[in-house]
Amino acid sequence: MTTPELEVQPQTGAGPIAAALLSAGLGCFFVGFTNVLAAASKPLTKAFSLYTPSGALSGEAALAVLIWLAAWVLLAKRWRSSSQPFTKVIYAAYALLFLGLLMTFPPVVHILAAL
Amino acid sequence: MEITYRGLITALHGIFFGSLFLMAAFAAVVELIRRHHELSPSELDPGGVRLERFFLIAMALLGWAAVLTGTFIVYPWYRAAPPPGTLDLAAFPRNFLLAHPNTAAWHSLGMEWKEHIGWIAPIVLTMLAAVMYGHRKTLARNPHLRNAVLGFALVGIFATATAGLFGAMLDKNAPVEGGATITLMGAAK
Repeated sequence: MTTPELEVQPQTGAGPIAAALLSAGLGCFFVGFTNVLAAASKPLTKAFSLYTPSGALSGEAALAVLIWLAAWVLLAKRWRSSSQPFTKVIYAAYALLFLGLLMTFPPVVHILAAL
Repeated sequence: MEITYRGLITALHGIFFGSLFLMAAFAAVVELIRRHHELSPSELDPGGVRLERFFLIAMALLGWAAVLTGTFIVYPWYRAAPPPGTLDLAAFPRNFLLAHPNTAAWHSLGMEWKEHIGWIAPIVLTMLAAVMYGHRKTLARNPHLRNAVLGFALVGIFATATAGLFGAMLDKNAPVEGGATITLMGAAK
């Protein structure tokens, strides 16, 4: 019996790609989120200043990259042989990416930091 | 023809690493779109695979080179605080821009956006490089996943272009200069 064409097919090898997408989304989210945190709090600005000449940006970027890489390794391991369609994962990855992007835009950062 | 040390490193950061990264990212996106129009998934010979992998690694490395030189070398020069009483702020671009209402937004909007959105670009485009490097066949079989990766790549290009555009405009309004003068051609008279 053949599978109808429109039925969602299991996507062989999709797991590692979904892991790469979700972890990249998470990394981008943390680029923006740490930016908002640093803008909202002077102690956090100081804490993020790992390399004083670059200020808080050094720690914000380092934390985001660390989270991105750690998530990538963990998710890739977890979904290595999974072949589900990952539709929800892709939506979550996009949501994280766009939130991260939004939280890099200074007018939005100022509004969120003032909350 | 002369250039200062800081001017040279800034040019290396923006014009060499940054622009090449943007061009490479654009080429990767064109390749992904091209794959949408293949009648059947194409196979590469070993030389083609090597060339494609070299390109993808170079693209990711250019992105990291741009963002790391920007954050840890050029940005500290840009944001250095002038000693109290300094009247000529030309060597302190951040303070120079903030001192004039007509240029302040180049820092408060341009630089503050650039310094953060710039980090999104290498994260997204390294993911793109890794996926195109290691999962070529899976991508070819799954238009759903290919579209998702393509969307991320377009955001990566937007992030790179935004950082590059503001970098160029900031350098026009308050160039990062200083350090030793390097003579590239001809002797100073």
